[in-house]
Amino acid sequence: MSNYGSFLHLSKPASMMTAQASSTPTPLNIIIHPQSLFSILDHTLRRNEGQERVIGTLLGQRSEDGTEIEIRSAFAVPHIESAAQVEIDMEYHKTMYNLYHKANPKEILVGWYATSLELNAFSALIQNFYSSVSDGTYPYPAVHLTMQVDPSSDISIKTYISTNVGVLPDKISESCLFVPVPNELRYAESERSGLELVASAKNNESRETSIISDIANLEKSIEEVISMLDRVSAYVASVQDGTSPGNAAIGKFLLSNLSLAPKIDPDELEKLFNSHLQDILLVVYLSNTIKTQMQLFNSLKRTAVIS
Amino acid sequence: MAFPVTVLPELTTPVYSVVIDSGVLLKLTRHTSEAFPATVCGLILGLDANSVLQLTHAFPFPPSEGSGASGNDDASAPRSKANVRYQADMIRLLKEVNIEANPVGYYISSYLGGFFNQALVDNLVALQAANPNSIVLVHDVTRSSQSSVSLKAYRLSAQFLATNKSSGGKFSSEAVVKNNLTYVDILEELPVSIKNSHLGTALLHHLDSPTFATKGDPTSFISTSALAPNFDSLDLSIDPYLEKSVEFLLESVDDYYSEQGTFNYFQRQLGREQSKIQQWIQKTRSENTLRERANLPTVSEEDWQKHFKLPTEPSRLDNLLISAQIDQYCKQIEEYSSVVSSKMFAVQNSLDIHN
Repeated sequence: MSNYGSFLHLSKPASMMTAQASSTPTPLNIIIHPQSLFSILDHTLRRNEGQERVIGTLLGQRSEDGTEIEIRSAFAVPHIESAAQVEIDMEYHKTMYNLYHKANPKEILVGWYATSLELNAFSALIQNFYSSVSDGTYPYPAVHLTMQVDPSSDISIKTYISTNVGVLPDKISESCLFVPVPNELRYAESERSGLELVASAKNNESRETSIISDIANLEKSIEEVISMLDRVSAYVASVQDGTSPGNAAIGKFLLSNLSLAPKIDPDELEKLFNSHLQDILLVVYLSNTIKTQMQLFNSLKRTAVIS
Repeated sequence: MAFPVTVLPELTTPVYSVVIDSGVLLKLTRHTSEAFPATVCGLILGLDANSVLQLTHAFPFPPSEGSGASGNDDASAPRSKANVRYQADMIRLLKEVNIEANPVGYYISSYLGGFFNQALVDNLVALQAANPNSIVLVHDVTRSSQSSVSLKAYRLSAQFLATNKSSGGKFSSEAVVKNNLTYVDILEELPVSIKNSHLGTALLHHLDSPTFATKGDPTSFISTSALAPNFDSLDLSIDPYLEKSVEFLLESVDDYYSEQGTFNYFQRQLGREQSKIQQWIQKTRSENTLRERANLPTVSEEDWQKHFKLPTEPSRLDNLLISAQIDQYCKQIEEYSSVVSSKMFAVQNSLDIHN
């Protein structure tokens, strides 16, 4: 609206632009969705022979104030790296990004990943591309995620953003300062069951698990609860014996949880339960009747057609 | 209900089970549950080897443009023009990063298991014609959020395909009975298992290990580990689920009834026409004897076809699908109630001890 009343147009001076860019809030926390990590690992497994690390684009969301970045998914970008130079298929990145964006309009470019912990001149080069004005995350800094996937060591995940503090002007394109940013793993409630299923295979030698039925799942949960209760009561017993030292904080915690148990009038409870149970039984009865009817009808139809 | 499965000639290496890569599972569950309550779908890529179908990659289809113009946009999604192009583009790009560029089916989200419809069958017929080992993965979002993941892999049974072929997509009663097709075996289910890569296993161990820094409150004893056990399945809120299931079940029964009405109408119509034809044949017969006496050319009794047209039989496919849907709802209710009633008794007992 202000454009209508104004006849004077001033382009912002360059110095103001940089001032503004540096005043954009830097991310303080990075949230990683497990799915993106699995994508990265999958990419690692599919790397070309002799390739030391693979890189790819990270997609996600940025919180409104820009202090929190969520990494939600990732895709691979082919690249060739040698001692002297690095070549990234930027065309690939752009087309893939467009395709991804079409299917997930909410997810935008937030950064890139590499599967080695090393930060070198090439990292800076790529980082500068990802945070560039034209196709990058500008004015927000791009996130760089490094993941150690060397089979001989533990997996570790580090996240960085870059700033151009103290950078030599003549080497601006290949240097930058990587600032580590804390990251945490988070997932939506709805992903929990999926992740849990995946995690249940982690101690199997075959690395395989099958989808279990609801009732089996219930059994598993109950067994888990019972074992936890056993553990707690064993601990409490040992404190009472004096074999292990008591901890006031744990005691308070247990007490406050115990007081959460509801106190309900038994008659009332009985009534509630019975009415609920009757509802369920009625529904089961209904569904069974319908099912039987269907089967009967189907057989009748069959004999009618045959005769 | 075990009919001998007639292996189709083109089905050279039939697959008997499905192995899903953990990354694919996460991707698929997230896409479907984020889009909930809209039903969405996507493509799955993979390989079939040694009668096992390995799903190694999946990507979602973009939401159809101008949704709302036609009520059921996603019905034919995997075969819509825009998606076919999208799929081709995507596969071309994925090939470059060494991902198996071999579509083996698609996944859909479902709400309380209501996925038996014409679109599903059409899609599968098209897919299985191209690749007999194609499957559809059905992810029931509502059930997954309640307890464990509910993911099923299906493909059309050999009986169904044979019926479709022999009746030319018409599904006459005769073809249905001849091919031994009942509503319970429209789809055959394939066992699904999940497989982690070695690196995936390492990652999971890392996430579960205490070295993985979590920013939990040190004074809290609630586990902040990313893989803390989940006790959602112990939840006791049962009414909404049961209520919706029954609602859908009754809706299906209504559908069934109206479908039955159409069929009854056809049968009445058929009977009426047939009695008319009988009358006509009687009449020509008597006329023919008169004509013979008068030395006039006789009219063939087979000529009734010129004068009458028998009503065409409505396709039995709707009936089969609705029946299958009802069966599915009933099964779900049974499964669910078995879980719920055991939970109820457990709680009742434990509260009895308390009081």
